[in-house]
Amino acid sequence: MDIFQMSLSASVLIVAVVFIRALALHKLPKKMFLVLWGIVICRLLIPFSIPSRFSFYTGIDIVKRMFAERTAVSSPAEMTSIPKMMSMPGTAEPIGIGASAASISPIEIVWLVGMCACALFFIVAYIKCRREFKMSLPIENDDFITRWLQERPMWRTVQIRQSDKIKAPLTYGVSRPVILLPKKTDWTDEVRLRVILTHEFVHIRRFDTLTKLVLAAAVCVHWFNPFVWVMYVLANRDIELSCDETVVRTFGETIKSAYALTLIGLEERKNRLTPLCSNFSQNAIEERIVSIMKMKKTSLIGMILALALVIGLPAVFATSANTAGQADDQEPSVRRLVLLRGANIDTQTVRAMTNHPVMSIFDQATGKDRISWDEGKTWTTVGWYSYDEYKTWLEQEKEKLQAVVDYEQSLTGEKGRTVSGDRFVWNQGLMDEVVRQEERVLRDIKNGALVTKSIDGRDVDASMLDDDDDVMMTFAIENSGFKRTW
Amino acid sequence: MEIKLFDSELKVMDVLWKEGDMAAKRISDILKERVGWNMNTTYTLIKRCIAKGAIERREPNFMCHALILKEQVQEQETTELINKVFDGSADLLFASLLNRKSLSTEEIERLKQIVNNLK
Repeated sequence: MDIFQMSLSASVLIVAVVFIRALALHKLPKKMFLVLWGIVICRLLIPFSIPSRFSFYTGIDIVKRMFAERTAVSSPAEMTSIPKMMSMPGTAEPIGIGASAASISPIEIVWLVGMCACALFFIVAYIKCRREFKMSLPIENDDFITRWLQERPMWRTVQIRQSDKIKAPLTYGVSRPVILLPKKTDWTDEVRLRVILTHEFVHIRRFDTLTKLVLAAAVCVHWFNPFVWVMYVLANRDIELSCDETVVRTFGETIKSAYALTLIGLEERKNRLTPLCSNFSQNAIEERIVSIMKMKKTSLIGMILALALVIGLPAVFATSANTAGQADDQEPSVRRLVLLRGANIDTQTVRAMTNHPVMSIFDQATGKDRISWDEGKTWTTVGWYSYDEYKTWLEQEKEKLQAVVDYEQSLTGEKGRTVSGDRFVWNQGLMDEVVRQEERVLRDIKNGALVTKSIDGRDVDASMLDDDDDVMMTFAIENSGFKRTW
Repeated sequence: MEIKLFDSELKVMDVLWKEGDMAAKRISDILKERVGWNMNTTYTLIKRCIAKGAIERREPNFMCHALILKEQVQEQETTELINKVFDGSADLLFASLLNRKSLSTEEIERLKQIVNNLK
């Protein structure tokens, strides 16, 4: 699964979370949204997926299949038959879908450059801020602050300092967190101080600084995806909302209006100095105030709904469609196959055929594909080799070939000499070449390639020298990200 | 010439005002103990003060010399305060100081003395 696929599937999840957030922000516990964003982050940064038959993508596959089957019947034939040419196994060369499979594509370079630029921006901003924050001064002779800190022992040492360069309280540092208060804080207003400090303390306890760094990392990796930026903004807001929620729970509902007023007071100060970004943050602060004032004990229904969402949403959107050899799923799925290689088919022909992917309907119940070379006019049923099957066959084949080679050598008396004439003669070199190719096929299978075992019920002779009608062919599922290993 | 210094920069100046010229290394040691700054932070602040023209660097050993007096900064800050909050009149500031409840009797006596001296 490459980065673009990860980005795409996470986008669907983000849209779902944004939708729920817009509908029920004030009705559901805010922590739930943090859990949902956490799932989105996992989806964005961890390159694996859990197959599920309830997946959204299984649904998409079903729709796609219905659509494909309907159009398949009416579309004209593009390909007629499989061209076949003889080629000696010794001269067969590896054939790739794209020549540059191993090197980096231009799109990947653009992505890397964007990611570096984005990371650089965040790192420079972070270092600059940190340098300023480090110039903060200790708060001297304030009994309340000292007492407050002593009441809350933590295994990380927490410092409270002041600075004349910031307008609103903030927290920085992960392992040695520092709460920074503006110099102009009213040190005598203990109620307000207590609320502010508790808010920052909740941030520290929850490692929110670290969370914000992870969010920034996700944005850097997926900088090209606008949905991820939306997530970045909203998740940062939800961190604050959830923190507010905890503070109000701690102090009781009576503090709500005082707390909201404190926030408005802080925001006023901020906005006067940065009028340019006031519009955006105005929106955010409004959301915060409304959220605080509307806060009440979460109802049982709310809790159940939240729980259902946290479990259900990822199950539907964060999993991938259940495909590829899952015999328990009865739904057939449509896919397109690209010819990688075929015994007795030369490179040029394969390249030409690669441009016309073969339509296939995969029946998970039988593990077989029905493939059509002519866009749905005629269908053949193809069975595939499993890794173990091919491996067993290969072992037997090796023994057989060795016996032939040994026999030929005993006839000629010399090792490795080809006898000229009409008769094709095996020698050790030829055998090694054939075995090497067959081992490549084995590696292909391991990497997800499909190798024909039977066509319309007839077993295909897997040896490279077969010139029967049913030649062994290696396919890759189109857009599956299949990479050849040589 | 007016130089606007932030609190952290004033902290550096304060060391120089109280204890005279000294090497940057020593300022850094003192401030590490007093406010917990590491060497990098203090050196950055010293460089900023140099750029603002508040400190002069003398060789050898990165000796620091204060170019402005504490009184200059005090006067500058007071003027700003008067202009900003007391509509430019010093007597309003003075009245405000006298009204502070935390003023001790000795302090009041001293203030009276200053006023009497001015007459």
